[in-house]
Amino acid sequence: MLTRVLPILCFSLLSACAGMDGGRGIPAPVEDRSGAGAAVQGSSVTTPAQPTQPATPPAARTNPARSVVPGIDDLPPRTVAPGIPAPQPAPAPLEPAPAPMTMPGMPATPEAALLMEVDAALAAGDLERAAAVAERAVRIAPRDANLWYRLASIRARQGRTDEAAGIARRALSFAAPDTPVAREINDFLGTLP
Amino acid sequence: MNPSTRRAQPPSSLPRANQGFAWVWSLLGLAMLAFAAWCVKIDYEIRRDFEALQWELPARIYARPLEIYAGAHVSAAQLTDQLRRLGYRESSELRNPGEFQTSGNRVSLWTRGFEFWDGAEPSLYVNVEFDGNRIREMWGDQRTGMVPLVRLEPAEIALINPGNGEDRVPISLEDVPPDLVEAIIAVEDQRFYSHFGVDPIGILRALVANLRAGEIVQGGSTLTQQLVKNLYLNREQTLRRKAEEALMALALELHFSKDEILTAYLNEVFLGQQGNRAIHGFALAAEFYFSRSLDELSLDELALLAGLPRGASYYNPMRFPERAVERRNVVLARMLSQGYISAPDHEDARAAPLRVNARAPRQNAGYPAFMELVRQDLARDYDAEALRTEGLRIFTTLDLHVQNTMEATLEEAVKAVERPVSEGKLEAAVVITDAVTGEVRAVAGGRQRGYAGFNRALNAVRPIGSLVKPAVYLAALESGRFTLASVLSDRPVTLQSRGAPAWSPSNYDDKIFGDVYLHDALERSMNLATVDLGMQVGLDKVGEMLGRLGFEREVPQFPSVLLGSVDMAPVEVAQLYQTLAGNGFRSPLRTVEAVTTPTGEPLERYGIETEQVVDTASMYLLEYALQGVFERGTAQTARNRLDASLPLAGKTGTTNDLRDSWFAGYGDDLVGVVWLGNDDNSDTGLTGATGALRVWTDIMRALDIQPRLTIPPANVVWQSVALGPVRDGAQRDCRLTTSLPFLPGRLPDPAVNCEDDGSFMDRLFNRFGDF
Repeated sequence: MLTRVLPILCFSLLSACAGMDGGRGIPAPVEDRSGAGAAVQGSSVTTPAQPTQPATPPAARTNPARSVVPGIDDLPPRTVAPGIPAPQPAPAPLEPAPAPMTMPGMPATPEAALLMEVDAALAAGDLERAAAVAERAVRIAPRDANLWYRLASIRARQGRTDEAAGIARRALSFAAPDTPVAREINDFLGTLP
Repeated sequence: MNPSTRRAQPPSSLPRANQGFAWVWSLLGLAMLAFAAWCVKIDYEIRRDFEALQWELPARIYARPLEIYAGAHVSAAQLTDQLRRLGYRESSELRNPGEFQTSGNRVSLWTRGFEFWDGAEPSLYVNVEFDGNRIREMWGDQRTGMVPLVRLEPAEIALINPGNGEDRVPISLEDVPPDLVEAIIAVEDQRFYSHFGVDPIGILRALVANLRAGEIVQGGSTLTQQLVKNLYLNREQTLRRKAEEALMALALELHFSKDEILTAYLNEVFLGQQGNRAIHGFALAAEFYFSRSLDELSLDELALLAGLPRGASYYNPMRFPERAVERRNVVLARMLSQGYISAPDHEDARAAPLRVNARAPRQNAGYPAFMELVRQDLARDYDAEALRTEGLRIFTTLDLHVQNTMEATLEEAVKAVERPVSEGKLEAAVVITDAVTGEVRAVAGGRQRGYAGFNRALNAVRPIGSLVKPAVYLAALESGRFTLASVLSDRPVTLQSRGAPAWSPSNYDDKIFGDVYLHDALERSMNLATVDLGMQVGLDKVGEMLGRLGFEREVPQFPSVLLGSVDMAPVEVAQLYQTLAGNGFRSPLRTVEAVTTPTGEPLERYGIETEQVVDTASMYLLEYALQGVFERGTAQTARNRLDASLPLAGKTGTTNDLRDSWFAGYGDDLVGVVWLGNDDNSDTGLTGATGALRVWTDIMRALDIQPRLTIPPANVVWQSVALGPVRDGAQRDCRLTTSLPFLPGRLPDPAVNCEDDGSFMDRLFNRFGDF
């Protein structure tokens, strides 16, 4: 029976694929389950034109839209490993432009530099300034749960608990679940009235 | 003008009798008493007024400062544009703040520093290396080493002027270059530090010089007298006024130090005019004529400014460069003869070419649509008087790069879609906000660049058409009763609602799609399926969802609302889509970030606010479909042009008779809303896809909008459903499937689920067993 079924199956597959391309105009989400079948692979029939996709999620990969849900490795090269000097720049023509060098105690990323400033403002008791600097950091790295959480905790110290709660929930939305920071934010939310 | 060369005659009287003399003496005594009283009065008034001397200062409105750091989405061209706008000079060697140089992928600059509301930004030397549209790396010099972050000073975009039109930037004496003070003293009042308010020697010398020349070449007025005249007296040249001026000058000198008087003079003096804006004081004059700060000017430039008090219009260097240079050289010659400068310095400065701005920097002409929004926001906390007189510094969220790029693209883009071709009637409005914080980055109120008339972004309140649909679908997904794979009926219906005529909606082009998946209905903007869904969800739920997303007015409870018969201004639509872009966190749109005093002390700050109004899981499902709009739906046509930026999310909108063409969409960084329509509400011939989407695409391409990187919530699962939507499980066809995101407890209906029902081979044989 198998020999009867296979050619029909393959044919229907190919025609279905061809039909999808020109027909209803929604090609992307087509996923060919039967293509994954070992039977097809085992036979001498040419492989279908439609590339097969894995049938079981890794969620990041089954999504038909190209990198709709990127894995972490899909993040754009936002920074070139801050702190590590990138290829030596060519010497400046006129002004002595010294090669980048890291000084001890000098923060390497803008976020780290701003967090130091946040600490300084907090130490000086200037909470609003601390919040302003934390927001500057948030604008630079808007998906950093820690920065949002930092801002939330400053708002809480100012007694602006409604704002603190909203910002903390935002922080939580950027934190991977069951990580220490997520737990900490949850605890923090629990302390708010 | 020539100072008092005439003398008041003492009252003459004829000596007749002793009694008469007594009478005269007492009269004289009375007159002296009156004079003394007048002196005391002037003395009192001068003390009172000068101590309380406070200028009415216009509010200054700043754009968002450019942040430079490794990884920032900033190109070399963007940085140098900004530097030029801030009056930085391109120079082969960096010697001073306010200079920059470019070579290959690198821009080196020396920033000026600025007093921000959150602290002082220091003046720094940095090298910035670019890699395409991003900053690859940044470092300073031996002293500073790695520089993690630099913030340029913000560009001034507008002023809110006091009623008298006077504008100035107050400056204290220690910030004034000594060369300028010396130049002014040399040319206006060389005995300033030794006289006591009036200068008889100066008057005599001026008299002699004027007699010799046969015309007025020198004034004998001291700086003190000039100051008094400008501050307290009118322009008439009477004897009484002259006496008053002299007395006031004396009183001023009696009570105040030379430095205080000089400072007031440096800030008060009139130095130029631009329309109805009067340029006062040397600090503002430096910006006005050179786009630079006073301490960045060279000797020749300072001498030029020092020559202006004599006649700011006559010696205006922008209009009369020869006169201005001649006057400058007079100043330089005086400085040389009085020993303030050396002969070589004098020679160099004399030989320096005139380097003033060709035109004065634009004021208030720049961004009227955005400014209207700023005024609205400010009006909540500040009255008009405070804005005109207190010299507030207002830091806004306007991004000059985004605004300028959008404006540069908009007019051509609108022209390209207009039908019939370029009649110039089709109008536009654009609002661009930050996708994370809700800060407004750019606004256009019309298709024309810098258009200052009817601000359509705020005031064109139009039906939003299919832009409303995400609210319908979101309410459905959130209810838990629907999934992306719910099967909707896209078939004609007639709805009867109380107090309204029967309503029979139809699809665009009158197509009927039959049974469709929920995500497909949104992606391809099917009206009938949306009505089917919306009626199941409930109009109240849809209205409530619009409210949560940030629409503040009442939503009518008619079924036609499901297809967007609700009127909104583009800025209101931007708020809705801002919440969608924020993954269900609503952040109120803001244009003002902070307000400080003229010296930089913070008064008010408007921070980031965010409130969760929809759960992130439902938002994630909705966004799958809104990304599908680009992938498979009504915005497919834009895919090629946006390739590098995909995935993006968005929605087209078209209203009845093609009156309005809308597109609202977002990437990771920006949200953009584009409206196209005619002011007379006539047919534009455009759908959302053929009009606004194309304009949106042009703008966002130019802005290099960043792809969405929405992280799936942990509980999202991907499951396969049959490609064809069916309501009866017996008709399910799992040969072709599509994988969609679902939430636990809200999995696909068994009728379409191809995930876990038996093994693959079982199904295969069930289906083909008949052969």
